[in-house]
Amino acid sequence: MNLNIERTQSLSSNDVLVTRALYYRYSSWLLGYLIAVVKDYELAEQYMVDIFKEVPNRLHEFTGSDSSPWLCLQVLAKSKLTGYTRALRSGKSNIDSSSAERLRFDSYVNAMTTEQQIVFCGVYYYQKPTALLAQELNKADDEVKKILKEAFLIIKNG
Amino acid sequence: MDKTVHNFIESGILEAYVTGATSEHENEEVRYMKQHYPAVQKELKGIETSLELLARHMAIPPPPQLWDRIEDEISGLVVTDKHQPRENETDYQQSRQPKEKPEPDYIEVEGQSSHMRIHKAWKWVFAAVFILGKIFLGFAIYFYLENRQAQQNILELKQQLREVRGK
Repeated sequence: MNLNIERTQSLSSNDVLVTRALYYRYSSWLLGYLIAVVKDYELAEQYMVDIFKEVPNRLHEFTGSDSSPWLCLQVLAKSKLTGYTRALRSGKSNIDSSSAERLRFDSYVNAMTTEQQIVFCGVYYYQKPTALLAQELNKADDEVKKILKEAFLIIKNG
Repeated sequence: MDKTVHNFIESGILEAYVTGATSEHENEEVRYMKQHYPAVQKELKGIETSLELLARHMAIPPPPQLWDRIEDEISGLVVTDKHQPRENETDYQQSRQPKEKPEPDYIEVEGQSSHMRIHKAWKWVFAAVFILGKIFLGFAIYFYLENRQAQQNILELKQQLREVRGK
């Protein structure tokens, strides 16, 4: 039998209130991110439900960390998306198609060079470690990290 | 700024760390540098801000009923007062004892809230019941007045009849 361990934990009504506050602050950001990854509105909504359902049980990660709540939420989202992104990564022509699709709606990524797009999208949307990207691009890991930094500079400068 | 710190920041390892693309060894290295160098800490905050900027730019508002769906899912969890010890904590020792009977294949969910949650569609039903109630009340008052008027008329007619018979 498949038991859901989350259901055995106790929650206070305060946990639910904090979760609601996080939802109202970050739900649109998270939905945008999820749709960018899964490219399916209904699937993204289902992921939203799954992620926020788990937030009350993991509030200690939000309060205990000095990272922003958005980053904590993204870590949670990435852990939920792991299976999906792994399946995507196992596809052969994922890099070119994913970055090409992204070009259509993401002006920040649009401003990047093809190499920066591959690295940034690979890391940010598809959870690829820089070591794996270095292997795929036939470059050194340090070089990939530098490309990632350049991509972030483009976002920072708008 | 210390050249080592400068090189560390410029290497792009912090961006990779924030996006979760680093190895465990690199994570430890970043955590150490973050603890010891405020410049690294500041740079990490800057990267987080960039990610927030991107997320805000890519934001898509969720449908209004999505929170209700999430809240329904959360309400499926047991809501208790945090100050009260959890049952599984107090009975920890007991739970370690081998049980004679096997655990049932379901989880007992006990509603502890004194409030009732109903679907929003019920508000229309309540509105219809309220309006119908008002209409019936109006009819009741109307027929009561009509009846009283009719009885008064009957009494008057009886009076007139008695007067006519008396003459």
